[in-house]
Amino acid sequence: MIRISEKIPSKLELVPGFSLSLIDKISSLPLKEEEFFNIKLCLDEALVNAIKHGNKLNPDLPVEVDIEADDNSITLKVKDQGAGFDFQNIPEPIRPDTIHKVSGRGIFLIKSLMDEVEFFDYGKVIKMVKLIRKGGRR
Amino acid sequence: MKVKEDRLSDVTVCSLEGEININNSPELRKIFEAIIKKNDKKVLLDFTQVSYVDSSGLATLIEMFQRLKKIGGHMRMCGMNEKIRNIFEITKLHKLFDICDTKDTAIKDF
Repeated sequence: MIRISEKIPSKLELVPGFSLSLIDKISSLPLKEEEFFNIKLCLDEALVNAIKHGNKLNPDLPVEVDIEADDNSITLKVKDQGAGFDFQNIPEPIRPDTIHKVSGRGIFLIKSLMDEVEFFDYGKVIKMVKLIRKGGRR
Repeated sequence: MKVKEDRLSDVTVCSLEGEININNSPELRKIFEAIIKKNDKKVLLDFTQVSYVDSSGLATLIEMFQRLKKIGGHMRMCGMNEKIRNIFEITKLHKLFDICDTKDTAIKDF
């Protein structure tokens, strides 16, 4: 069983290094290399959203990350201090009228790459779950 | 991230190296702006040495694609590893962009 609770100040430049350090801490899990790649991408996207849209780039507001993993799954929760957002009406960026849009792919990537995604507390918390399939190997 | 720029006949080849992420996407945007200012219209982005692309990287690529299109130019990509190719497929950007497997194929008939 792995349990990690960490905080990051709302500074975008810290995101890639912070998420990499968390991925290092779960590297003993029996996941394939592309699964670690995808989990890091989802964590990066969730952190960037929390810092940019949730905490509005206020470096004094932290983003909290909780990770729990066992033999069956890994759960990552990312929580910001903002006002939340309308997570039920996020336009899909793959339609003919949205594919050319420059931004708006972060949550779509998370939903596509994770097995379960839920929002809580008006969207201030995103919970992402990746199932660990038997026989997974790096 | 490192970017090496070469010229192969009338094609500007940008060999990208490392991660394209939230930290260096603005730098990549500046490099693309400089290419457009030079009026280079055929741009090949070589992803052979790219290890990671996030949504800010995708956004920068879409911007470049659109700006080149506006001036009658064309952007092509090549050399993506499977993990990165998967990101383009999930987001359906592989249908928007012109993606080739290898640099040789990409240069041919550009």
